[in-house]
Amino acid sequence: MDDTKIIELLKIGKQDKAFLKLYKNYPQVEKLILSKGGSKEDAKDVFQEALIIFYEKVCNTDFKLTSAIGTYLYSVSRFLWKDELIKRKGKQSVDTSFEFTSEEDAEFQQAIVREAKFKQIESILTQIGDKCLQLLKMFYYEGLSMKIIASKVGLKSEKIAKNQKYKCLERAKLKVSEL
Amino acid sequence: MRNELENIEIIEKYLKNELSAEEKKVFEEQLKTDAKLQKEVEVQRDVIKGIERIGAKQSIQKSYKKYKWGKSGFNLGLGATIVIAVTSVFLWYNSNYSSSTVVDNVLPELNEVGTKEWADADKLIPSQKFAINTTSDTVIETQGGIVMYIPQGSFLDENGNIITGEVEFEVKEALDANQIIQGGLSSMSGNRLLESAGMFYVNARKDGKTVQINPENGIYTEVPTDEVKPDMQLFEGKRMADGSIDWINPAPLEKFLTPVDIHSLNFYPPKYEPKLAELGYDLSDREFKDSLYYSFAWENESKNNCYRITDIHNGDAIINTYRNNGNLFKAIDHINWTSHANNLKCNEFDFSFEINISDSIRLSDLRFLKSSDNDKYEFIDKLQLNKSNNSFLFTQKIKIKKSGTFVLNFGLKTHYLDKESNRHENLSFVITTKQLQNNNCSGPIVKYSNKVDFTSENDTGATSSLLFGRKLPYQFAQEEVDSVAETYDSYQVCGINPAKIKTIWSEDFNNTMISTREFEERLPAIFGTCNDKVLDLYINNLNIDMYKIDSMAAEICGGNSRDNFIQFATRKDGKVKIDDKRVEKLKKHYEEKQKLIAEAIAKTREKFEKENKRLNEDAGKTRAKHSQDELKRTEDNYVEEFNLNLKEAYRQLGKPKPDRLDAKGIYKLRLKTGGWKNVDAYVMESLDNRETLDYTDPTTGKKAVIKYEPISVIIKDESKFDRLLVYILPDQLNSFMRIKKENGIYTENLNELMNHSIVCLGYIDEQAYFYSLDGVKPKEYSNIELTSISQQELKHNLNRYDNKQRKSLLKDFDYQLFEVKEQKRQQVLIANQKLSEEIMQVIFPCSFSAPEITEQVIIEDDAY
Repeated sequence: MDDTKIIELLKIGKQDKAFLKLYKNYPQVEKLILSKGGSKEDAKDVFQEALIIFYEKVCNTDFKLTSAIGTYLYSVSRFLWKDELIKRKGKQSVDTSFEFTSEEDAEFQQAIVREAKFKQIESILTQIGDKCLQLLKMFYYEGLSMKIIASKVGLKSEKIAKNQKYKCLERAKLKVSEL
Repeated sequence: MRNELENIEIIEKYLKNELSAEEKKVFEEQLKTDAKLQKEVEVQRDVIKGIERIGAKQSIQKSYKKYKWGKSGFNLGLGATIVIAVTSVFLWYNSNYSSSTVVDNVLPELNEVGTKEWADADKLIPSQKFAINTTSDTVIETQGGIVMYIPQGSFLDENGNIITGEVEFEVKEALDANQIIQGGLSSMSGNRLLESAGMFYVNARKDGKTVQINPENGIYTEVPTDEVKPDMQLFEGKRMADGSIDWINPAPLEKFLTPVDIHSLNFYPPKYEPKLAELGYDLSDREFKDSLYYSFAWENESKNNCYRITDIHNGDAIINTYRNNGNLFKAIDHINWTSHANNLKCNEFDFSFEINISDSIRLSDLRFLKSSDNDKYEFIDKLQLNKSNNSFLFTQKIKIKKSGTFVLNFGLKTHYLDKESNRHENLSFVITTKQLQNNNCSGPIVKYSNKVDFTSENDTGATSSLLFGRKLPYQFAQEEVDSVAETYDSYQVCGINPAKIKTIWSEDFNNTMISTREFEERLPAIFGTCNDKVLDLYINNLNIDMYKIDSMAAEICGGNSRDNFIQFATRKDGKVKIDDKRVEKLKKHYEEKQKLIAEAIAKTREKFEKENKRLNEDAGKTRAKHSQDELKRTEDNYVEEFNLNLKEAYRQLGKPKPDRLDAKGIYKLRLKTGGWKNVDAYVMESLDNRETLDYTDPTTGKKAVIKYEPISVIIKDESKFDRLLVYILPDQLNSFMRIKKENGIYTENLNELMNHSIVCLGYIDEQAYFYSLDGVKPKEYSNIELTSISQQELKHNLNRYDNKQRKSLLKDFDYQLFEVKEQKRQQVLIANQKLSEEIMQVIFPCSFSAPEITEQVIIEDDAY
């Protein structure tokens, strides 16, 4: 499957399928992390974060594919691992082979800051209740229509579901603004 | 809606860019100054992003699991994955090759069975410990690469209740020779040396106490190997007093199957595609292949008390005939009967026959006269009658109650046009039926017929009586007519209902045993049995190992099929992990969906047949109208030419033309013999034969000569045309004459009194070809070449002819085009029928084995 198709899948609500396809780039990343003192578990975590960063990038309206997805995932993973090593062992101990261009450095650094911020938001969002989270996820992530959502969560009408969605959103906003 | 919620809605619209240009402008203005709103927008954006990210992370987790499972299966190479269901807490597994949270080698006080016994291996091999949340499914991978899938609720406490919360899961592994030796293990089972593909130990504890693995789920375990050996077994380890471990209780490994995308598999009957290829069809046209194959689906019904008709035979058909002047007339001059087996239900069928009634006869009544074996059949509904022109189609629904032979008697009451006499015509049919044996066939009963049309040996009488519609004295005679119209047989389709294949060859059955290469391999054997029940076995037992189903299939089959399934069973193919709810759901789905499919296909077929019937009837009407018009036209031509000739004959003879000539219609008689002759008769005789009139008046000695001389037309490449017509347009007639072909040449005798043009019309497929020539002479025109022409130009070309001639030609051209299209339609129907017959032979091979010998027909009761 070519890259444009994967991006298409990500955009039309078939993320599961797209991510599975993207996992074909995993062995490469795993090899990298293992060779740089990481475990398989580390490799798994790094790759998943790289996927999220990539996904965010794709969702950005002005996204354009400038390199192969595999290459992008590999360099993000490399950057993430470097960052992790610095956190674990201190800057001095990280081997100098981790070189990045200044653009890459800026982009990835920004992504890492963003990741940290959203990790907080995500954990606070898990406190709004399973039902709310499900409903919002179906709407914003899966892109389902309110009608389908209503029938899936057992609400009587599209209107009730829509109202419920705004209430959930309100609750979520309240939690997030407390951060 | 509350104010806050409205606010949220507007922000959402703004974020999703759903505000109108105007609204957007207003909103953005407000946003510039309103810091609170800025914050609101930002938070809302973060929330939505956060939600999306949570979703994405869950997707990624899911994909990771799938990736992991897909990968290990793939690495094993054979498409099969060795999976071991661990149902006992303590298992040392004899099989080749990790991420644990804790690695240690501190032995607890008690082992898994509550004793203090420990083997060397327990001490030497470090434990990998995993914290398992028992409320969700967990996948773990050991350092050696063993992957275990631990479904939620996999652990039980001492009372057999499912444990919730965290459980510590411990694994020790020795997957290669090195590790085995270092771990102080050996692969001895008693005195026998085992070939080990790896050994491992698992145990789960909660708060330090060993817990049971829920035997209902088991822990699905994949042990990586470079080569899958079929005889690998799972041994249990028994700790010996000397610290070694003995391997006991070998049990075969479950061989799990790897599902693939069901649409990458081929579920067609084995010979279907090769046959299509042989017939020259494009195999890449999936839609065509599907629609053709599925069109053979049928609706299943109970096969209790099902009958088929083995023979229909005419009993006595006594048909009254009448004679006049050597011409034989018949009330019924055409009998044609068929039974529409397509409409057959289990014990119901339509019996129908068609008769043509002479034009001079009217049918006033039809009824069943007597039934000889009322215990064998009964009528359902009333006799149906369809009339078109002189043809009557009678249809009666009959329900068979007992097999055997019975006679159906029909009485026809007819009367003749002169109303002087009413007659009864008697028809009887002997029908033999046979109860279907309780066989494995579930298909419909299909008739094939060998139709022999019976036509009365002297049917010109009817036509001539119409042309010269004069009342003639009838002379009646009774004659027995052999009216066998059709030989008839039927067979029941034996095979796998395509509706079933359509049901299972769908995404619904992805990730089941059906979507595996192994199932695909069995399908040819399943098709070979022609027994639906064998297919049902596999679909209704999705949670049972495939080799067990193979054995069941072998049990209900005989002969080669049995051997095939026994062969399959020895492969010990397992199943695809599936939960019981889905098995039940799919079972129900299979049951219901195939019915829906069969119904839908039956409806489509019915619609198609109805449409065809309508088109056939329309074509029949068009043809009947055409032949009527043709008759009228020929008759008019005749009268016109006769008048012309007669006038000329009288002129030559110097006699005044008799007045009665203007009274048209009275010439409509044709005497073949007779006493009195006059000039009219000679002119008529000359015209009848289109031969030169050479008459000498016996009294005046004057002569009347009207010459008829031959013209012949030979068309170049005549054989390339599907349809070819040559017309002659005599300038003094209102219509055209059609020239008949004799010995490959179109010939006609031209009347010297008129000027003639010829027009040729040919068709290759639906393309028209045209040629015309004016002022033709009685001679040979050869090598005439027709040129292709559009329908519009064709009509335009006729403009130069006389208005009446043009109109009659136009009408005939329209009719010819109708014939071209109608014949093409018939050809397509015939081609489809042929294709259908060819395909049925390969997709339902059992239906065409040795034909059954039909029972002897015994006529027990004489008819009427």
